[in-house]
Amino acid sequence: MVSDYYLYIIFLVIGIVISLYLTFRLWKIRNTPGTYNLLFAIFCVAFWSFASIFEVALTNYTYKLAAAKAEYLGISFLALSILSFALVYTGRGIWMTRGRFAMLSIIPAITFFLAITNDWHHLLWSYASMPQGSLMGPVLVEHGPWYFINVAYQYALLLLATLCFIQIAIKSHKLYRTQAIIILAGMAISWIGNLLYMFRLDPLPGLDWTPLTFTFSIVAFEIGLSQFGLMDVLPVAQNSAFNAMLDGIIVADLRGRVVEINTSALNIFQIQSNQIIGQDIQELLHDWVQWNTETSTAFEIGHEIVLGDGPNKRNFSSRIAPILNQRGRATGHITILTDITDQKIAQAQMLLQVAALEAARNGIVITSAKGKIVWVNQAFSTMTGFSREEAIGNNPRILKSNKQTDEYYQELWQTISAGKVWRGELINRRKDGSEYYEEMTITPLIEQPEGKITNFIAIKQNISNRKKSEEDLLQAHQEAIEANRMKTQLLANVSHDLRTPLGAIMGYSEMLEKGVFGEVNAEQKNAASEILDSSNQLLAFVNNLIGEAQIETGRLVIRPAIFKPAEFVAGAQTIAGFAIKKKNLKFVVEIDPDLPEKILGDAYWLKQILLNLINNATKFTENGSIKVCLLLADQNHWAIQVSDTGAGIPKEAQQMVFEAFRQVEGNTRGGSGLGLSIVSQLTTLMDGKIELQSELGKGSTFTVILPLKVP
Amino acid sequence: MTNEPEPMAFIIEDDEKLITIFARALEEAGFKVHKAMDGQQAIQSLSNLEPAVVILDLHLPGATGDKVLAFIRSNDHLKNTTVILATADQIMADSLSGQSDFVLLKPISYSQLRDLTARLRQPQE
Repeated sequence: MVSDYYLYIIFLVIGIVISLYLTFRLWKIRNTPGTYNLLFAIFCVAFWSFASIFEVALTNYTYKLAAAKAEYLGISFLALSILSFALVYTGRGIWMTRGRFAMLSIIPAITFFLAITNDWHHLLWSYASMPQGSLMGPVLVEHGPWYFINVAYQYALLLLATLCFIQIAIKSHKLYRTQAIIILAGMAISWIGNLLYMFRLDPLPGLDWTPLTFTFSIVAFEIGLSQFGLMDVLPVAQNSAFNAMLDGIIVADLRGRVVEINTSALNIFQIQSNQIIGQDIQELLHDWVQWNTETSTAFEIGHEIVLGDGPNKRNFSSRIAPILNQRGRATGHITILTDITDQKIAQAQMLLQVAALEAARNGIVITSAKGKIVWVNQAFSTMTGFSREEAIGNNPRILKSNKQTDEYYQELWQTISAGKVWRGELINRRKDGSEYYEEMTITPLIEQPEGKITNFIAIKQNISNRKKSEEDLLQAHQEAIEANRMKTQLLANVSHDLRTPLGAIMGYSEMLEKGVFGEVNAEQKNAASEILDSSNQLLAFVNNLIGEAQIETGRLVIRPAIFKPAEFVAGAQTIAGFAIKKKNLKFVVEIDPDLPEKILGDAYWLKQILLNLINNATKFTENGSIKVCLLLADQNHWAIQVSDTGAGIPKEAQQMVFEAFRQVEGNTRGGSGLGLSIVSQLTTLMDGKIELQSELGKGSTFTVILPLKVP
Repeated sequence: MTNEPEPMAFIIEDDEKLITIFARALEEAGFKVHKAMDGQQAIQSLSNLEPAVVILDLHLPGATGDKVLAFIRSNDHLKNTTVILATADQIMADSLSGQSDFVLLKPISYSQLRDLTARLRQPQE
């Protein structure tokens, strides 16, 4: 009998040693969820075992009883600790809040309290005494009412824990199931131990083997928690991850029956798990058998699967791999479906963009940060003659023509290396050696946030044609300038060459007319006057032409000088006089007495204005008079006014008469049409304005109003 | 007036016909007329002459009119000489108008030149 006690003690000591060893092992994986709960359970069992040793071994009844009471610290909390482990292990750890844990701790706490105070109330043990026939051995007890409450409570908690384990064992995949079964076996050991004790079927009566059976349970739990390679992570955590994954995962056994399917896969196929678990996977993946045979040991890319229509159409890529046990034998297959719809859309969009780049007329070159070509478009090849294959891997230097200086390239490289956009024109060389102008924009691609340049994108445009037109245009412009210069020179020459012989004609005819060479008769004198008058008209025309040319080229400069209005009118009268006299017109000159005797103005061009006005009046007047007035218009203005009694100008034509080379319709009197235009332009150059009053049949009055400047 | 020596007019002009007309007008105005048809030749003559009036064409062989004008203006013995530019080149005449006394644009009227030069004699009488 006593030897039985020693055996019992030895077993308990072994149990404690195992507990210590488990504690040591668990401490190393203490970050795994559930470890602390298990450590709590180990403490309870170890403490129970430890106290039990004293209860059995001690010979003093008082101490023996105290030890028996102390055991209840372990006994009371053990089931709670196992339940809390089971909850965490099966993914329900969240349920066990501090508050709930405290609530569940109330009965164990009362039990322990009642155990140590049993002498006063006998609620736990109604009777306790020394063991019979030996000083060693357990205290003999009769159980009080609270004992059964406690037992019921402990069993309730253990039952809950067991149910948790059973559920996970059923739900888990085969591989995890082994683990769950080991744990369940552990649970079963403690149930058996308990039941044996409860129904007094112990091999050694009165000895409680439960702490020892619980030790074995915990060993099983520890194995379940840590033993299998995959199980470093709790299967439950795996289960959550399994369901949380965006990829659809279907596990099938070797016969192709669906063993496990995650939430994403259920959503993909719009199916409930109870509809498909145990069914042939081909109901979901029609070509699965074919894939299966293709499958080797690693993940294989399977077919692309298209599900749904229209806007709900989704594309999935599939990967399939065998599940191997530790001996490397396939136990099933895992199929992973990844939604690649967005990827496909993005890919399609990218293809579209690439097509756009290909269709672009501008050459596009993408280089690495070091300047190595990684991509070119079709336009680049057309522009340069280098095919894509020839260009890729090369440096854009293959286009270099040496028409630009090294500094030019350096500046380019410095700009883009600094992350800035470079724009410019260059002459490049094609593959066949011919040269072309190109306009290029290089944009660095900068990766944020490091600000590192990853690529350069160059957009090129062949501007040879544009360059040529620019050059042509420039040449045409220069030619035009040159032609204009030559025209002006020609005019100057013509004017000089016309004026010189005119000088002789006019000089000799005047001398003839004046009788310098001897007496001339009236007819001869008249002939000389005709020559002189025609020469004057010719001269006036030449002067107008020169004036027009100078105005047109912006070379006519008004040079004010002092002149006497009276002399200026007299000079004009001398020149125009003959034609007026010939037509028997009356010529009247009026000078405003208020007009200053000397004024500032360009007498040469003023005379041209006056002559043109008089010539115009003479031309269109057959009867009556021509009147020239020099007026003081107001304090700051003076005016040259020429009136005639001629045909007059219709209202609608009054503006037109000042346009060069235009004449009023129906005018048969000839003339270049330049006279009034020159008058108008000269007036404008002199900051003056011209006014015309005219009535058909009655005559016209031209008034040139000019700023008055007095020396 | 008849006792006084006739003042001298120097016509520098390469067109013979114009020389004839100018000479006639100047003679009418009471000048003794010297002529030159070449700029270089004119400058040589002017070293020894002291004309009261110079009628100066600008486009001349030998030396152009502006060189002749510059010679006149840089020689002290010609400081009282009245220079009348007679030219068809208005632009050049404009640029030289500051150094000359009168500018007559060709064609120059016979009577105009006669009257102008006659007037120039007036203050000397």
